[in-house]
Amino acid sequence: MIPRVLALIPLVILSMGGSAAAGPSPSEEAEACLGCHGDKDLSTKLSSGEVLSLYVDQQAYAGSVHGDKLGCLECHAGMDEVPHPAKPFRTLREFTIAYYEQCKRCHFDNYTKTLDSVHYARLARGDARAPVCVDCHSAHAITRPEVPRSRTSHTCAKCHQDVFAAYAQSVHGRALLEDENRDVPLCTDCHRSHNIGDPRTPGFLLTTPELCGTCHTNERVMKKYGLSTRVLATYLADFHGVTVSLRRAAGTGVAGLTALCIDCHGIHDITRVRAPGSRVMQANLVKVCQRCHPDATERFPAAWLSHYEPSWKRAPIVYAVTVFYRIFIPFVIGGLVLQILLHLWRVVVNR
Amino acid sequence: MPEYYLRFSLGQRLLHGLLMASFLGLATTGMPLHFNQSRWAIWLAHTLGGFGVMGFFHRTSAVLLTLCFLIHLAHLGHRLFVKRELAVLWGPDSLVPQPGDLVELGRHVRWFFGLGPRPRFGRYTYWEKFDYFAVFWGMAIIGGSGYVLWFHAFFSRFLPGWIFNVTHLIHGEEALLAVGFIFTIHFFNSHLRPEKFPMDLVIFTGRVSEDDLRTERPEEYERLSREGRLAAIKADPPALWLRNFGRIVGAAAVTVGLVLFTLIVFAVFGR
Repeated sequence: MIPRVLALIPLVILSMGGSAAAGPSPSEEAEACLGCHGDKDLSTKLSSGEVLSLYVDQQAYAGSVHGDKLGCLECHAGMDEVPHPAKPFRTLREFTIAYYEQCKRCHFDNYTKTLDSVHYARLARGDARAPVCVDCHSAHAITRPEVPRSRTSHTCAKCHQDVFAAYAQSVHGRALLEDENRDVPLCTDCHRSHNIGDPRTPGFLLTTPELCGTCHTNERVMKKYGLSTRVLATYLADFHGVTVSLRRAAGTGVAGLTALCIDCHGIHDITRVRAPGSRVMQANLVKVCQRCHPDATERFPAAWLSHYEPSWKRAPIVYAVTVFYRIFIPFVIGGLVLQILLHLWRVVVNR
Repeated sequence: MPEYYLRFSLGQRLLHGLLMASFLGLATTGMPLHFNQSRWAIWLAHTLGGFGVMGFFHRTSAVLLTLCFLIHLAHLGHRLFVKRELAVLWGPDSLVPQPGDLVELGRHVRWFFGLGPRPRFGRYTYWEKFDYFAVFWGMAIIGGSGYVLWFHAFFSRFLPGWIFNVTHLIHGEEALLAVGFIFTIHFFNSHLRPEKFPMDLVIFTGRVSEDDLRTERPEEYERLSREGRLAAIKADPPALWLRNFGRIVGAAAVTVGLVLFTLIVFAVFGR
């Protein structure tokens, strides 16, 4: 928390300095540029043949988070020379990728986070289609990305249409898209927003139980929907969860990995357990088991206690066995150790 | 030159060796899995090549121990049904608990409290019989449940699902009991007790000296001399190399066992 507060200090100083400094205010500066760039038809042709529109919607910019803070030259440095110096962009994409670097001058924190993202990794490999700041946030009409809440997920959907379609049908997606529900996860809640990791890596997969657990162990939220908060604990105590813990501890690969939350419940298409067609319903469960245990029969899924902890009510036999050993082992070992102690005592006394 | 008598045949000693090796293998590779949240378990598993590799060695040891169990059963069956040795089932040469063992236990406890003389032990004491059946029972239960877990898909064809939860539990808990028993009680009663400290080499050499036989198992000694069977089991003194072999193997096994037992105690009481 403290570093974040400290990080704000230079920003505050900068904004105070900005207002005190002499020179054109952001709106005055914009006014000058918009003399030309307010023209809807202003454009230039790139060597690729693509047409780059040079129009800036004054209303949209004024309504953006930067509207009353930044003048045009803050990002478009060097453009106070008229006519503007020539820029060597051949394609629209080259232009975008060159200009997105401007964001880091203020948003250095988030910019560095993007360097760890799967998107940047693609960009670094030379895939110019990988999204940069402005692809998600837009360039001039930047408003708060999570207002309304569903907007974030719609942003991701611009590229990830299939995933979004599945998500939109899920219990999480429907609550978000229909009610702007504040409890369900957005894309970014699981995948993060700037440092979006590759969800196929062992590092990501092995932490998914805790990821789901961040909400599903939250008493306040789960109570609203009548869901158990013991799902993570019961999972981790069971054979699948134990294997996950072991893999994580050993830092070994993901090949032949055990079942994670997402393997049974689905990833983006998660439904209520009791929803019609739910894959984890008792009737459908064997199909899920068979994905890893191809020989599993109809009886097999009963080995899974459905996140219930054994008790006299649930799985009484399993519970009875647990109780039996809790008494039996100390009794046997204790009794025999007592015999050893008595034996030693006798030897000492006889000496 | 003291006289020596043969207590355990070469076959019995080899079988015990196989039992020891496979049991230690199973315990070392199984206990880290049982206490998978403990730091030492993770370290040990990692050092031995990861939990996957440990699973491989666990199953290999399991097959060896099963082999040991089957050889023993076959041997018993041969003695009982082919050679018609009913002494396997009853009498002083049998490991089957008999009323006399209860009397022996009572007398031993009285001796502990200084209320009577030490019982006159025979070929198998009551605790040796307990040892034997604890291991016998353990192999059947832990081995059986282990195979159910190993071939779970196959067994799910005819066993109900809850069986797997129960076998999973039983496998772990019985194993804990077996390890706890062997690494403390068996070690103490057979090796570390003051009369034998630090080690009773008879399971490695197979030979017991006349003095030892007479003082430790007077009932056995008198019975054998009465029945004129002593001469038949007379043996050479154990060779030095054999005694040293026994010392090294025994010390290694006891060390591994006690270290593992200490770690288990940490894991049980440290959480």
